[in-house]
Amino acid sequence: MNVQFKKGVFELCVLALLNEKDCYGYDVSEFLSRHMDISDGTVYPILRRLKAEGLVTTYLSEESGGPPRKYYRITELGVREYTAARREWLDFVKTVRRLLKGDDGNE
Amino acid sequence: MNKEQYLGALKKALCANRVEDIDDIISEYDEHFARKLSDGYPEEEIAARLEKPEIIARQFVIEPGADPYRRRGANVFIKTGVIFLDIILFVLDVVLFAFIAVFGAAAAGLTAAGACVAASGGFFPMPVMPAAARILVGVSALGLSGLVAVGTIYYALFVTQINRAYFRWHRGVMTGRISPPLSTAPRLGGKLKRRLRSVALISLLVFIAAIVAAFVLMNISAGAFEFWHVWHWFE
Repeated sequence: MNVQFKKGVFELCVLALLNEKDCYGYDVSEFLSRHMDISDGTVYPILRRLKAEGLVTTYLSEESGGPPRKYYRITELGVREYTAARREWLDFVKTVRRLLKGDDGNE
Repeated sequence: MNKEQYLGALKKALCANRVEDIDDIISEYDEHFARKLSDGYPEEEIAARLEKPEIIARQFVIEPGADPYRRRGANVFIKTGVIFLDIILFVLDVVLFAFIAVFGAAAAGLTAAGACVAASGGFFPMPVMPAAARILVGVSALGLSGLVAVGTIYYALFVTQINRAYFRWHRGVMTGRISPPLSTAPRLGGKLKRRLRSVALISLLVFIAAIVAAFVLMNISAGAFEFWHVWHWFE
């Protein structure tokens, strides 16, 4: 599958996770690499890109007995973009499934 | 590779790609190593599971155009220009759509005229010609109307497709949300396309056959090649 296309879908998954709750970067990475066939390091560039586009933001949490660690949180813009992209993706998958299931008569 | 080697290679690759905030990125991967180690993985395996530093570094290069879902919307001048373009093109669009009605009316008119001429002739004033020729002319008009009708359908699909493509481009400029490009040629399902093709072909054959037959018949009937002179059509 086209790498560029996959990248967009990974972003969608990351936003889906952060939409549920704030996470450490590591948690997002572990979650995704556990469920999908991607390498551990792929998530961090995605998180960074999402932050650069204003869809997620970071804040430091003071943990006792350790250095402050970075939490990722989805922004309002991120929620809006995620909702739209999620709808687009689900419609797209529905169409593809229909095409793959049977012949629709296209020459 | 152990952690130091990996982070060193990653830092070098990030520098080579001129990425910003390298220390911030390195600290994130450092934390990744730390947590993986506490989960019980050996350093070599952690590094192996991460992609090669060169590949990771390239993913940190921000390319706005490479994202399939989003693109930065255009600046305000371009957006204003697009709105003016909208106004102009809307007027043109009205004309385009109106022509669907025009072609449709032409097809309907030809059908009506052809049927009237073939059926009664007396109702529709026609120049002097034998009855058989009159019927053939009517039939040829019906053939022509079939062609025009098919043309109207294709034209209508073409206009709607153009509108769809323009709308997508417009949305891409205004909101930055892009979809896969749309072809400007209308897409028809196989069965419909075949049916339209056969209707067009039959119409064309009917038209040509009928008009040629009428022409030949009138020549024979008038006894001369320029039957319109013999029958005083244009005087």
